[in-house]
Amino acid sequence: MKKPVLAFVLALTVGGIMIAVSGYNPFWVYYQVFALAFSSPKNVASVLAQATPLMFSGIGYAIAAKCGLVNLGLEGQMLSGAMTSALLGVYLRGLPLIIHLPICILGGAAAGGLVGGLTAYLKNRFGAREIITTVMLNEIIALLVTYMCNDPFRAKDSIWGMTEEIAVTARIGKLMKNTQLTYAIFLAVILGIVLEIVLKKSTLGYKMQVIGQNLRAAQTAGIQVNRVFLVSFALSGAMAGLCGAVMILGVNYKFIDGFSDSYGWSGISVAALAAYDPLMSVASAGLFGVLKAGSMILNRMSSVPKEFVSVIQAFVVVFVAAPRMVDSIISLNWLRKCFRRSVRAAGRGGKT
Amino acid sequence: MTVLLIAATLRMAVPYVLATTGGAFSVRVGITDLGCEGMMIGGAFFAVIGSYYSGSPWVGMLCGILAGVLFALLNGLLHITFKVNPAISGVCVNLLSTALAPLLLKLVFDNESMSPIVNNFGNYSDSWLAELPIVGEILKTQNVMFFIMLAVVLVAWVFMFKTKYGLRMRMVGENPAAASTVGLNTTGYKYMGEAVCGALAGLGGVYLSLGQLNMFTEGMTAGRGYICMVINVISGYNPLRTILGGVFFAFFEALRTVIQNAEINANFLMMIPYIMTLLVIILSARRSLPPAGMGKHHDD
Repeated sequence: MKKPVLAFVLALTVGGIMIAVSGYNPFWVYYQVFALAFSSPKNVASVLAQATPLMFSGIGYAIAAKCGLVNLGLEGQMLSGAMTSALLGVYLRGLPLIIHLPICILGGAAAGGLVGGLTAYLKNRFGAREIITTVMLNEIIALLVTYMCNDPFRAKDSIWGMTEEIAVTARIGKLMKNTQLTYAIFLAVILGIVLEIVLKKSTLGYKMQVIGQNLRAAQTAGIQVNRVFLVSFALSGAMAGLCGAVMILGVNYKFIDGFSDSYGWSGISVAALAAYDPLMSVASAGLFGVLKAGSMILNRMSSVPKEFVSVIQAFVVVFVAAPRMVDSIISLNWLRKCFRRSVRAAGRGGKT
Repeated sequence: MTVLLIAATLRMAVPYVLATTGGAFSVRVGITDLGCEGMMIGGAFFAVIGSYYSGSPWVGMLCGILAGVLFALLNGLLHITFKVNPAISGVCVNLLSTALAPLLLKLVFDNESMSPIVNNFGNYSDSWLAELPIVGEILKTQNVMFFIMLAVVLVAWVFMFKTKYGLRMRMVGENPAAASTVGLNTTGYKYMGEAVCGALAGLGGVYLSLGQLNMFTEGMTAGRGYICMVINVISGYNPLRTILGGVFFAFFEALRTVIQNAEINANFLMMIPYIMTLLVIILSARRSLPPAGMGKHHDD
């Protein structure tokens, strides 16, 4: 657990240097971001609201990454889940909440899971690398949902592409009034715990870990790699689909073209910081939620751009992904080398 | 109409072809070209910065290329030196550059989504090229970067397949351990391939901001870097064939702009190349393989 913390601190340091170069005091900015995020119950609620979609997509990426798969299709899976749950919410009418809402949520999860499963199927059946196919599916789905909310399912009298509002019976309840915080966060935490248990305690989880650590060994041991790939990719896609579904059913109440604030892509940063562990992804999403919400509040009060957060988020991935780089930065070997070189140069009378 | 379509197709093919050729260099030394998207964004943004402060699009181009190379070197540092999974290192580059561009936009130009208008590469509508029979109509809407693209592709192909350095580069990609055994500097070749990738992807980005437009807008690459990765797969990592792949995607993009009154929905139209390519990739996945040494190092 030491490495990710170190990476996070390094990312904050690099971000801080950039903040300083841009003419702000990094210590003041960081203090304000964290202080503002917890300054009132409403702000805490907005932290958790920002973290909710990230929890889903983070867990989603982690589940695939555990068995060595790179799911770059989270964004597309998220969009397909969002669109499916929006349509179910708009066009299914007259059902009570207790039936309607679960249908919408499960519909979103199923759509994302199907897209994820398709990727795994193409990999298993045809040997198509998932890095390529997920990227293609992202583009196809993005175009498809743009078409759907602009043309056949567009709300009447709307200039911008969006669907009608979903029925009241399809909405996830708010945890606090006038905030974006909904009960969906409990779903995220529960799923995080469940998947953690699956991963650590079940045969499936064991197989996934073996495959992730050594594919050859797993094959030799007789694990049906293809089947595990399929399950894990479908689970990963379902989590991304849920991420889209809870945004529609809890926050936006309709599918708006281009509503995504890279919820899918952010899952990669979240999972990376959590060392691809489902339960830790929930915590790491919370941390990103603090940064995101805090910087948004700070942005409203001062001129500090909130865009710093995505840069810090990117640096987190850089440092988490490259533990050897962090080691060599921390050990200051490069500094020692430079020092020795300059001493040697000085010893030769400055001639190199 | 046809002439318009051909001209638009060729215009839109330029960034694809440039970045895909760059991607081919990256793949040929054994590194996934996932970071092209980020390098393109970097190229597009810093080209505008260069042109803004100097007033010359050529300085802008230089800045764009340098930015692309810097992002590529980050990718190289992560993957080659620190042995990060190439997919993750590519994602790092993309995340960083998609995050940096809006931030710098805000800091430098104090604008949320676009830069001010800067000097760009003018087209040939006033030059003698426009007077040429037949091709004049097509050439007059192009700019100098169209010819740069042709030169780049040709040079890249000759280097890759007709020189000993190209052969060695491909050997590093196929089998880094063997290449290292015969005394090649695999790390050097990998960094070189990555740097060329960054330069060309950056150049593709430059075309977007200074060739097609005269400013940077957020999200202007619109996933073109990812498409380049895909074009590379269907064109077999061969610079000459990237022209075909680039033109294929550019054609549908051009069709969308030419057909304004939509009898077919534009979004549907844009889906066609993706679906067709996806089919091609699925059906040829076992045949059109990347170099065997993909993601390997000489010492692992």
